Amino acid sequence: MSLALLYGLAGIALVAMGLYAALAARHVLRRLLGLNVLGSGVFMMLVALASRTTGIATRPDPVPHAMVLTGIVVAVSATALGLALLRRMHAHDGSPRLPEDRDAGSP
Amino acid sequence: MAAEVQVFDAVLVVLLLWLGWRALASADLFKAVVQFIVFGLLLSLAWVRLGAPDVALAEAAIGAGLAGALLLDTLARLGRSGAADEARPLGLTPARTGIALAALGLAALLVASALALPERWPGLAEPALQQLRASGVSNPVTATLLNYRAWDTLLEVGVLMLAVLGVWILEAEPALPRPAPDPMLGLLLRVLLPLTVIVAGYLLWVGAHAPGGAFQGAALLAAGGVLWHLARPLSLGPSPVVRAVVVLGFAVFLAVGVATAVLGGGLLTFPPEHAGAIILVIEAAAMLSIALIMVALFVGRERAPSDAGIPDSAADASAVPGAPNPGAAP
Amino acid sequence: MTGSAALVTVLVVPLAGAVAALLAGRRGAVAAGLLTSALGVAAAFVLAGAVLAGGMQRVAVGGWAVPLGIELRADGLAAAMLLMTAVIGAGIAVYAWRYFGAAGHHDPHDLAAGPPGPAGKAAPASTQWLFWPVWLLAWGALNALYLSGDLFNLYVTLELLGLAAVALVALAGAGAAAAALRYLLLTLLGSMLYILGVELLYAAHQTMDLLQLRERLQPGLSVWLAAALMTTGLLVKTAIFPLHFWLPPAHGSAPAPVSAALSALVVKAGFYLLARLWLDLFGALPGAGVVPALLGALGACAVLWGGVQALRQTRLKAMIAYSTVAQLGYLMIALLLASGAGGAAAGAAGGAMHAGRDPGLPPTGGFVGKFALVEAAVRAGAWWAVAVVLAGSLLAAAFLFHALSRAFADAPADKTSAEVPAAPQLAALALALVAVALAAAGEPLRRLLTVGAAT
Repeated sequence: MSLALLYGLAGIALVAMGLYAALAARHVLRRLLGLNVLGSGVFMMLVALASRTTGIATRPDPVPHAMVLTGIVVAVSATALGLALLRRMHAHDGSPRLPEDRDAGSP
Repeated sequence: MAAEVQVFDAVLVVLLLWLGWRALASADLFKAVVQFIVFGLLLSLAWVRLGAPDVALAEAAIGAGLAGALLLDTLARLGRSGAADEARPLGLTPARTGIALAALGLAALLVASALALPERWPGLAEPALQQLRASGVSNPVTATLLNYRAWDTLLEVGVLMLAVLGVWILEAEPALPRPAPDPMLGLLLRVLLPLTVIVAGYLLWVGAHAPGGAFQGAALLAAGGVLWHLARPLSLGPSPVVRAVVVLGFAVFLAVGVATAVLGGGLLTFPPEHAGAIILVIEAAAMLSIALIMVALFVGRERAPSDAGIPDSAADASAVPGAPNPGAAP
Repeated sequence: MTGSAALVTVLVVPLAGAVAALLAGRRGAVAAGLLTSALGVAAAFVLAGAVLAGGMQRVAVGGWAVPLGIELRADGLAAAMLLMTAVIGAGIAVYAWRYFGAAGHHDPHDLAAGPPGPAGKAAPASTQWLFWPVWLLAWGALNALYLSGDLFNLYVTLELLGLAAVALVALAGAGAAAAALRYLLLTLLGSMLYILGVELLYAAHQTMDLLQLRERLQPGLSVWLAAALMTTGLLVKTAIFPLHFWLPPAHGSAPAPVSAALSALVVKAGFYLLARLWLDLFGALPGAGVVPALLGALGACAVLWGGVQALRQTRLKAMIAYSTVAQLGYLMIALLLASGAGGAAAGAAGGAMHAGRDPGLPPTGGFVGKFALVEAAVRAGAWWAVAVVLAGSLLAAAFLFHALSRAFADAPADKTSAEVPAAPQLAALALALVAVALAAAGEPLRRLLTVGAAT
C-alpha cells in the first residue's frame, strides 16, 4: 500500500464521518464540527493525490497544496460566521438548535 | 519525501480516525472541541508526512489554533444550558440510519474511484516547477497562491473580509465576565508579542523560498492579538481605522490587479523581474489584514455603552463588573 | 475599450466599489454603491457589445495558460447573465438607498421588524450601512462566477457568494439568525460536495479548466460520481425542490432589497453553474441525457409545489419566496429543453433568462419569458412541459391577485408603505419596464446567447 492510498482512504473515512455528523447532529456546533471534519477529509484526499508524483517530478504537485490552503482559510471564515450566528440564535431563541430540531421539552 | 508507509503512518491514521470520530460523537461538547483541536494538530503531522509543510503550518495555526479558540469561546458564551446536548448525539435512529447508509455508500464509491486512479501521476507539478523561475519566488506553493492562481487568492481574501463584515452586521452580544488581570499574563505578553511579530515577519519573508507565507504569518500575529485581547480586552468594531486595516490586503491586491491590467501585460500579470517584490508587497498587506480579521473574528462584537466603535471606551466597558452572563440570559 | 479590458472592468468595478463603500463608512457607502451600480451597468453593456461583435472574450489571468493558470471567458450566456445582474443590481441599489435610509438615521426596517429581541436595541441601525460593501462583494462574486472557466475558482466564487448571502440575511436582526444559520450550513455542505467532485475530476484529468476537461473527459465511475456530487451540491444551493426547504425562511425574514437580491440573483447563480456543467461538460457523457430529464422532472414538481404553497401563504414575502421556488422549476425545465433539442437550445435558454429576471409575475417580462419557454417546448414537442408551464402560470396569476387584493386592503395600516418614499416603487417600475424592453429586444438577446454556445 502506498502512502497516498493510505492517507487517501483515511480521508474518505473522515468524509463519511463528517457528512454523517453534519446531517445527523442537532446541536449546531456539532454540525459545524461535522462540516469541518468533512472538509479535513476532502483536503486529505487532495494532498494524498498530490503526493502521487513520486518518481515523476522532484516535488509533490503544489496546486492541490494551494487549493487546500485556500480551503482551510475559507472553512475557518465560514466557521467563525456560523459560530457568531449560533450565539445570536441562542440568545434570541434560547436554543442552540435550528427550529426544526427543537423538541418541546429540551433546549 | 518518504513514499514508503511506516509504522508511524499507520499509528497516525488510526489516531486521526479515532480522534475525528470522538470530536464528533463525544456527548460533552467541551470534550468534543478539545478532541477536534488535537485532531487538527495531528492532521498537520499528516500533512508533513505527505510532503505539504505549507499546509501543515496553516493547519496547526488556523485549522486547529484559531478554529479551536473560536469554538471554545462560543462554548463559554453559550453557557451551561446552551452547550448541553443529547446523551447520544449521533446515536442511530431510523432517520439517521438512512443518513449513515448514504455516507457509507458515498465512501464505498469514493474508495472504488480512488482505487481506479493510477498509482503515479504528474499532476501539474511539472509546469508549476518549470515556470518557477518566472514566478518571482522559489516556493512552488507560494508561486501557485500568489502568481499562477492569484485570482483565487484575491477572492479568498475577500471571503475572510466578508466573514468579519458578517460578524459586524450582527447585534452586539453581552461581554463575558473577565478574570482579574493576571500579572503573569502581562509579563508573558511582553515577551511573546514581540516574538510573534518577529516570527510572523520571518514567515512572510521566508515564504518566498521555503514553507511559510502571508496566511501562516497572519495566523501567528493573530495568536499574539488574541493573547493581547485576553489580557487587555480589545474592541474591534467597524471603526474607521479597523475598517482601513481590514480592507488593506484586499485593496492592495485588487489595485495591483488593476495596475497590471492598465500598465502591463494584463490582469495580475507580474513582470518576472519585479514579480518577487510585487508578491512581497501583496503578502505584507494581506498578512496585516488577515491577522486583524482573525482577531476581530475572535473578539466578535461585545456590547458597549456607545456602539460607535471607539476602542478605548469599549475596552473599559467590558471590564465593568456584573456584566450579564450569557448562560443566565433568558 | 477592447473586449478583454471590458471583461476585467466588469470584474473589478463591484469589488473596487466594495472597498470604497467599506472605507467610506456609514455616510459615504450609499454614494459608493450607487456610483458603482452605474459604472457596473455601463461596463456590462460594453462587454455584451464586444461579445456580440467579436465573439467569446478570453483573459488568461496572470498571463498563465491553462491548466496552470485560470482563464476567464465571456461567451453569450455569461454576457447576458452579467447584463441581467447589473440591471437588477442597479434596481436593488436604488431600492436599498431608500429602504435603509440615505444617511442611516432613519431605518424603516426597524419599524417593521416587530419587537426587538432581548439583545436588541443597540446594533441594527448602526450597521445597516454594511449592506453596501456586502452587496457589492456579492455582485463581484456573481460576476466572477459567470466569467470563470476554472472549477476550483468557481468554488471560491461560490463561497464568496454564499457568505455574502448569509451576511445579507443576517441584516434582519437576531430573529433571522436561525434562517441565516440554516442557509450557512447548507451552502457549506453544498460547497464541500462540489469540491469533492472537482477533486475527482482533477485527479483523473489533471486540469480544472472546463473546456480542457471537456476534451479530456474519460467516462467512468469517478466522472459520474463527480458529476453526481457537484450536481447535488449545486442543487442544495439553488433550492431546487425537494432541497428548497431553506429558501422560504431565509428569504421571508430578510430585508426587502435582500430578498430581491437573493430571489432574483443568488439562487440563480447555482442554476447557471448547473447549466454550464450539464450543457458544456457532462452533456457529452454517454447516457447523460437522463440527468437533465431528471432535473426537468424535479423542475416540474417545483413549479407546481411552489405555486400551490405560494397561494397558501398570507405574507407577501413568503409568497414571493415560494414563487422563487417555482421559478427555479421553470429554469430546470428550460435546461432540459436546452440540452435535448439542439436547435431550440438558444430559444429555451432565452426563455430561462426572461423567466429568471424577476419574480415572474404575469404582467412583466417573466410572462414573456414563460411564453418563450412554451414556444421552445412546443417546438421540441415536450407537451408535458407546456402543461406544467401553463399550470404554473395560472397559479402565479392566482397568487398575484391574492397578493394585490391584500396589499390594497391593508394599505393604510402598512407603516412601511406610508413612510417609504416613492423610490422603491419607481425602482420596481423601472425594472419591470427594463424587463419589457429586453423582451422586446429579444432578437439581439437571442443572438447574444448563441455566441459560444456548446455545439
